Amino acid sequence: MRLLLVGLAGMLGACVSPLAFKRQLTAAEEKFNDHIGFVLYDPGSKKTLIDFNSARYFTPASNTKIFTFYTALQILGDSIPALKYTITNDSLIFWGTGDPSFLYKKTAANSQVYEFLRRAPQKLFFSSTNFQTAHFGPGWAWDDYNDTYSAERAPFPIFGNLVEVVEKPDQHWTTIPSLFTNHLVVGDSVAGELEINRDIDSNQIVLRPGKDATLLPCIPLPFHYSGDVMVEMLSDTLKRPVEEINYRLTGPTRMVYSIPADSLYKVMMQESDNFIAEQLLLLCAGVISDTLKPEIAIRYAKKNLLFDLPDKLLWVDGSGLSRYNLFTPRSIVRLWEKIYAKVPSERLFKLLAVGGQTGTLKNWNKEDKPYVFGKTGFLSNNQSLSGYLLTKKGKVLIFSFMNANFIASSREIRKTMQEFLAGIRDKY
Amino acid sequence: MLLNLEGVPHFYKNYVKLIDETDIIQALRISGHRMLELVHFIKDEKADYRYAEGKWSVRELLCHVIDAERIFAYRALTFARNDKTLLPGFEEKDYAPQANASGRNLKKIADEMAHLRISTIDLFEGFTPKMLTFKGTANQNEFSVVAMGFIIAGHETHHRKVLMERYLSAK
Repeated sequence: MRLLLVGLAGMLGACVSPLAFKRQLTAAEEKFNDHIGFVLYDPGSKKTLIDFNSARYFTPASNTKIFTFYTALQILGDSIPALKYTITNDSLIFWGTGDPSFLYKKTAANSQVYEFLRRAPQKLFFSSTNFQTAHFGPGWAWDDYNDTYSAERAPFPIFGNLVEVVEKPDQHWTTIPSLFTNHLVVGDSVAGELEINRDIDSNQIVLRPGKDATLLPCIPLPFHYSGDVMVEMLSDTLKRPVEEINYRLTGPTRMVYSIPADSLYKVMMQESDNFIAEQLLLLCAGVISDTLKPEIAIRYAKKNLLFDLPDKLLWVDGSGLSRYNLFTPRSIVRLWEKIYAKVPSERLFKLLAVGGQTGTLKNWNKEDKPYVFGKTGFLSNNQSLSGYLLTKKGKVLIFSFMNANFIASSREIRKTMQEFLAGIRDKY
Repeated sequence: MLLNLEGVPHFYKNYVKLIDETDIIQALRISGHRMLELVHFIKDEKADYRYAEGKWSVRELLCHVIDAERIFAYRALTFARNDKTLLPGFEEKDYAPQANASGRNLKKIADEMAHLRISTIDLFEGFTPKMLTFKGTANQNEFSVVAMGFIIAGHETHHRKVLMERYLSAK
């Protein structure tokens, strides 16, 4: 085994022809006993330089967000629609658009929506009749419900649909937003790190302090979203009553806008924020129909925007949390090419994770000159990376690297990808 | 773009080329969304701005887009009903001064655009696939019903780009 590893490392450093690169991929498959798909494409000459299992289907994980990104680029404008409203007599009735940014820490601060609702002279009524989807996507792991990365989809999110549990100096625990403090139960201490769990179908949170570990200052976890919870939280925040109403969205409405769309794209693409990705599909659905349902946006994109990709898309959610998504490396490469043609690179590259510098690629090897700009994807046993590769000769190439069914550590897979891509950078 | 440009009169082809969507309803929804977003951010003090002498003000331009949509939609209705009446053209330069644009505030104009687009979408949603292929003549040019829909979206998109580039650009 040691000989094999030494040989593999040698090959990674020395080989330079397309065939040699393919041999490296074969060796990596043998080493990890997994499946690899890889495509390297030159958008300048429109030639595929390396093709390794490019037509095989892989679970893309968060590479799904590239599809969401392109769909949003095509449908949404420069600003994010935050809410729709109509005024009848002394009432202002509003509907959510799916905008995830309202009081969400990760996105640019914006007070437009807050001030609009706070200052409106009418009574406030919130209607969610336009939201016609489940809080979780198809094929999501049910036991992720308690994890930060699995916030519920909603028509009018607030605080990113997350609640933070924090310890006050007096050793008492509280929540942000404070609404949930009454639902917080502090149990007996446990050995090791603290444990925190929310009931699957309510907002009761049980916290068990850890005896050994240093406590984290804030622990965000998703709250269970409902119209009741939303209006209570909004009333609390605005310091004025907000009621829920069952009022259909028909006829003309006015719109309030929140933040620049790029602010959302950046967090989604760099940090791989699942919640923003899911909500972006709802936003898109709300533009091309009056209904917030991700399937509407996906169906539209497949038929109208992505019909020219080489392989059929099995696409079911915005974030890639679902294991039902399946794409081929060559479809992903073609998609990056379409994005490259639509978005000027000086704007585009600022929205992506940059190797050694930003987002999920921050821990990539630090290089004098960053050369990978793209999107990562990870689910247990699956890892993807795709995007643009800047070569030493100054070319911009497009690549997709997908790994499936490995049992090695993700760190090992990442290291292999990194070494392989460095070889590409040097060769081309 | 699904529409065959060969069936679109030369003058209108550049409008239709601006539309990426292949579905007429989505083309109308998305172009309408983008225009309303832009109008939302135009400040009142910009309402009478003209980028050059003799050019329309922002308000006049928006009223022209509204007028054109109503006329194009009427043409689509006429063709869809298989009415072979030869429809007249409309002279935009004569219409614009009559539109009382300076007497209408931007918010009301935006409301009117939103209401009108919903009405136009309702109109096109009522057409069967066969009706969308019907043709008629307006201003001595032959159009199909579906081409008229794409022209509505494309004409609006053209003026949205003009607004962004010539009226609202920071340059």
